[in-house]
Amino acid sequence: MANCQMKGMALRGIVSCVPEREIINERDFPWFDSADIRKITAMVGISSRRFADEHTCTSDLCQAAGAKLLEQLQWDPKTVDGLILVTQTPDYIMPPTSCLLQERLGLPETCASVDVSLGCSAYVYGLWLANSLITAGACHRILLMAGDTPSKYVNPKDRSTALLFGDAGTATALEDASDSRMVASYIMKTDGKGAEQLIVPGGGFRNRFPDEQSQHCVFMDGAHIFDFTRFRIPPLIKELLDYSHNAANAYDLYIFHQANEYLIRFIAAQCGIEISRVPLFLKQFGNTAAASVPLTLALSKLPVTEKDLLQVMFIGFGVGLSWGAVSLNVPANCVLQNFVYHREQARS
Amino acid sequence: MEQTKALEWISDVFAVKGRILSMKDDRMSVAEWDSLGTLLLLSRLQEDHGIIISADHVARIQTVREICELLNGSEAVPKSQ
Repeated sequence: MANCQMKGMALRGIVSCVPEREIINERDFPWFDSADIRKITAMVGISSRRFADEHTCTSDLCQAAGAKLLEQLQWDPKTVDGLILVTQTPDYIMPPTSCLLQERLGLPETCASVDVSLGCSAYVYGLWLANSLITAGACHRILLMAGDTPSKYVNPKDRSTALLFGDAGTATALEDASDSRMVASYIMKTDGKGAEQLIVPGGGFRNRFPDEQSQHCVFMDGAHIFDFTRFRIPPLIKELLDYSHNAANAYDLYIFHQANEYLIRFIAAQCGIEISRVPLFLKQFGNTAAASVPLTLALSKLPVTEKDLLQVMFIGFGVGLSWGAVSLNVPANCVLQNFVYHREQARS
Repeated sequence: MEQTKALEWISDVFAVKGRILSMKDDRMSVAEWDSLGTLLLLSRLQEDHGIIISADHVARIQTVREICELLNGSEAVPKSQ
């Protein structure tokens, strides 16, 4: 069973970045009926997104976020001994993008670097892996990078998906805090029966060079994904509340994967969560896949409190199907920052 | 729900252009009743009417008449959730 409690990991900061190019649903999709756009926008709550240019990949966004985070924390890159990149849009099939990032961020050869292929549940799984490594003593300081550029796999003519996704990269600093009282509770789940409900069918090794170009683009069975979310996520949250022995109002923030505002509000109501504790940034940034959860926290204003530790629940769900949630203590003084990525500045 | 209001609501859900659907319409006659239309129907049933049915259930609905029956609580398809 993948339910577990782990001690000894501290989240020191999250930096996220988004590309500068803003895509506005009502302006930039003239081939769709404007009434259709308004209805989709009203349902999911997404008005605009950020798209990377053709030269910018997940690694570029994550590198920029990671470099800024190291600088903000004044961490010597040589002290980082673990790098986890969680993404569905690596730069290449091989080599692992995490290896590129290890070199570009100046991390030492003694840094273990690994790619993990997950999307909407990415951040929760990334935290779970990082916590396991730190608690086991395998790593002392880990950079968890979660980023995606879904704009590169979306068919702009597919009205089921064209208006939803945006690009972003994030970096989270995690370190050993075995002398602290920080505890994390995790519940992780998987149901591969839903694998074809959200899929890019071509380009992998099962269908290497598909004849149809659309096979390189994402397909989403929206109705079944909608079902998955509304029927599986409320029980997940209730299970984690029970498992961590917390009431819903014990949490300062609930950071949801940002896929559908209506569903997030529905889930919050089902679980007795005050909506004021649920940051929402779909309107400006859309669904940024792996980056969605850390981007949302980086954009959030932490509640003013005298507590030194905030209680935060992170909830991720989607492609796989894969879903999970973590109850985490987040230091009230952790670094949270978001910035706009400018490719030319990043290169100079 | 009154039939006229139900038909207006269904036409709005599918964003049908230039007409109000009739009881004779079905999936074949409504171009907007595609996979996205199905998702919008699922979502609006829950949001506007508190009717929670599964995606498999909504996929079995073939006609506007069946949607009207669902709105009026008289549809025959068993709820699977």
